[in-house]
Amino acid sequence: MATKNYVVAASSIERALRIEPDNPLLWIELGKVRLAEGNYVQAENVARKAVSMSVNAPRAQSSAWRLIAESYRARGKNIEAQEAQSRADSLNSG
Amino acid sequence: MTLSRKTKRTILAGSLLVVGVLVIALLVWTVYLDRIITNQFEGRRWTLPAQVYAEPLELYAGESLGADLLEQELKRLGYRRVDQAEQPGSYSRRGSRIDLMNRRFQFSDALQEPQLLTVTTRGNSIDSMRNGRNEDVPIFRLDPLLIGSIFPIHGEDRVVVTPDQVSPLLPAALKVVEDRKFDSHNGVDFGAIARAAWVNLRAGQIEQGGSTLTQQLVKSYFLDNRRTLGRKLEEAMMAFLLEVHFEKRDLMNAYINEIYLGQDGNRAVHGFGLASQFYFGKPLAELQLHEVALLVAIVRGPSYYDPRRHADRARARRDLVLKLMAQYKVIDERAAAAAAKRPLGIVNAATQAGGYYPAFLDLIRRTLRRDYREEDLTEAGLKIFSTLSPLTQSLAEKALSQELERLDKTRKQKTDNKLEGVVVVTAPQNGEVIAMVGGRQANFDGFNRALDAHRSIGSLVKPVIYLAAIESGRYNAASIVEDAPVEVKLSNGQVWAPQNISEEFYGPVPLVRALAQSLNLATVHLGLDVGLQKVTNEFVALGLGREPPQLPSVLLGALDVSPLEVAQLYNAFANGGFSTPLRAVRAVVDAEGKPLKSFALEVTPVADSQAVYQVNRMLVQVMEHGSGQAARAQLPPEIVVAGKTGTSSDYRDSWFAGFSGNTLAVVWIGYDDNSPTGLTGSSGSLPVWARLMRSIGTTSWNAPLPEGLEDRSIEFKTGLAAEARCGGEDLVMVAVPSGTQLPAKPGCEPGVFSGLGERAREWWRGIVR
Repeated sequence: MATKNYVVAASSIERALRIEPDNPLLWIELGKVRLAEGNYVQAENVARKAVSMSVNAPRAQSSAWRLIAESYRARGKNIEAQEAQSRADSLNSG
Repeated sequence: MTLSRKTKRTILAGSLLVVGVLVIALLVWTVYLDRIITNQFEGRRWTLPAQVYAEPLELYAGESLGADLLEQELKRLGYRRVDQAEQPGSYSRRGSRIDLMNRRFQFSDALQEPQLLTVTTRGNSIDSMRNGRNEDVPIFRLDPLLIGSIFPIHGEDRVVVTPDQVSPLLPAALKVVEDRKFDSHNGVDFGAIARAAWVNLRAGQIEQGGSTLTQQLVKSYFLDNRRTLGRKLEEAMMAFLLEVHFEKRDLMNAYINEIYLGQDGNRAVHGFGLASQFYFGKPLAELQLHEVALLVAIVRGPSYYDPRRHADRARARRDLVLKLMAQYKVIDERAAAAAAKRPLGIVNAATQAGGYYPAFLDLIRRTLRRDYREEDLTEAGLKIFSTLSPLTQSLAEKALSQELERLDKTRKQKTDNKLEGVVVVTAPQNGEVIAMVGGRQANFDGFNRALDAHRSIGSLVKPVIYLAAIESGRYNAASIVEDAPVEVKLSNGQVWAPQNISEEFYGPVPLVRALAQSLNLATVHLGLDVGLQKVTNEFVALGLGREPPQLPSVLLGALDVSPLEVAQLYNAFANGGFSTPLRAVRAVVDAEGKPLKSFALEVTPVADSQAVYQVNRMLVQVMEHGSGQAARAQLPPEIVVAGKTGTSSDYRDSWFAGFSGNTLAVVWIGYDDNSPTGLTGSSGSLPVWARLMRSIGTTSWNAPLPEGLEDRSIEFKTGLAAEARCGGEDLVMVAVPSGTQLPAKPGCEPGVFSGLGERAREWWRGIVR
């Protein structure tokens, strides 16, 4: 993403998602692009989508919560960010 | 008699004046025509309708795509089967192995150069892919199918080609057949005109035109079809002027792009670029001799020599073209003879690349009108990358037409009034509309029912009510609700007293049964208890563009909604409570390939994921135990699907909306004049849906059980917690919040048979994994 070509990055992730729509890691990647381009609400929404499909994949779910935390932080919502972060951490340790 | 000198002088002066005026008039006229030509011809020569592409076929190892299906898709793209794939747009096949060379294509995000790709399949899936350097290729995108264009109201559609996209055979053939002096004349061929005049004089009617290619170009470009002497002079003068200003090569290219070559409804096919797609389903550059000859044959009379309607005439003239080409040494005799043996090779307009998807194109046009002016779409040469899957589209068309034919046969009471139908298919996770059939004649460009038929949706509203109920926190899938008479006093003083379809009462029933069997009275009790406001809010949250009126009758589906809007609503269920705006367009690029706009994937959580999951599990029971059961026999037993039937009052509308793991499909059947069909959702639309789902080889709905919910085994009839081992009957698995206290069937109390539910749970998990 050094080139800042977010549209191309998102488009290739979307391409992968068409093939594997249930893969939470792809949704997380899409969320990271949204975060990088400053679309914090979509970053959070996409991460929540990843949370909902990674019930049985704690590490993926932890990354998704971390992404949610970052999107809150970017918007100055520090309390919510902390809460999301601690969910991420608890999943990681468990 | 002699005239006076004065008179003579007056006559002379008058004559000079007349001649002078005429010369000036001629000059003015010439300059005027010259201005027209240079202005219009040198500037943008053609308005370029936006071209719309289908979604590209992605090839990857592990994909369920066998060699037969891959070959079928290559044929749809107009790829030519050869012994060795060395040219773009060709492939070879040996058993389960297909070698192909793709066409160069500028996608919105990357340029794909032609390359050799070896696809090895095993059974019904791709085993591996390798390129020309024998390297592994994990994923590959084929050039997408051109599915149409957005042409202006007057209907002129074209695909413009540059000289390097044209086989040299085409200009050579055009010259031989239409204008042998093209390279040397000055716009008009007087010899040809004299010859044509002689022929026409002897025939007593106009049989032969002596027009040069330049004159034909002028006529098509600047003039109308009237054949008057004035027009002829104007045409000749303009042709002359064109020759003064432009090179022969430019004029030939203009001719190739301009000329009229066929009609498809209200769409006029102009230029050889589009004609090649329209008749052969492939780019002009890939045409072979016999195909080039046919297009040249059509020039003389696109309707008279229409190869689809008058194949014999078209063939005779094609062979004449080939003969002339040989006679004038454009090709040799052997090539001509070989080409004359080939069939016409016309693709079927309805199913192949020349096919036409009016309902879907209509959706695209409406989507883009929000962002673009009409002229930009019809003139600026935009390229539109759409979400249409041609394969799914053709399967959806087939499923609908076959079931409608079957229904026609079994119900003989009506003759004139034809049942109509709609199918909308989406990919729930990203909201892409992958197929859309707007009527039983899918290629008919008329009333787009998928978007414009707002019809009563009957019981399709029920899942929304059940979702609102569970979201309220006061209900779960096993909660008991009373299926008993209900009377509501309306504001106008009337009393509303709905009935079940069976006109019976079922007493206390669990939510799962009320939904699965589509019980009206239980649903009305539930909806009234939750509150109309909550229910109508839920519709808006899930993506309906307007709030339904707060009337109790809305609880039974007295709500007019289009099939596309139903797809938007159900997409939120299929997508686990996330709403994503349905999209038909992925990206738009300009004529140079520069990205203008992309319609990015957006998701928004709109409903509690636990509540949505509970409703979805109940929708699975609709298929297992309820009104959707008939579809089970059509689908593989291990495939889990969810859905809901809908029937409007007096059987005017038959609906089914349902989804699997990767596909949502909404089907509507009814009459355009809204008269009763006698069909329920189960007897009309459900079989279409089941046939479609089977033919696309769909995957299971397998969303994971959300945190905070657990599986419980209950009796379908009573809702009592029970297991088979303690005498439970007709058991179903539902998802309820963990630790929910459920009344147990006597003998099945908790603790007595602890752990016995495990087997049923294992069964469910086995199915969804």
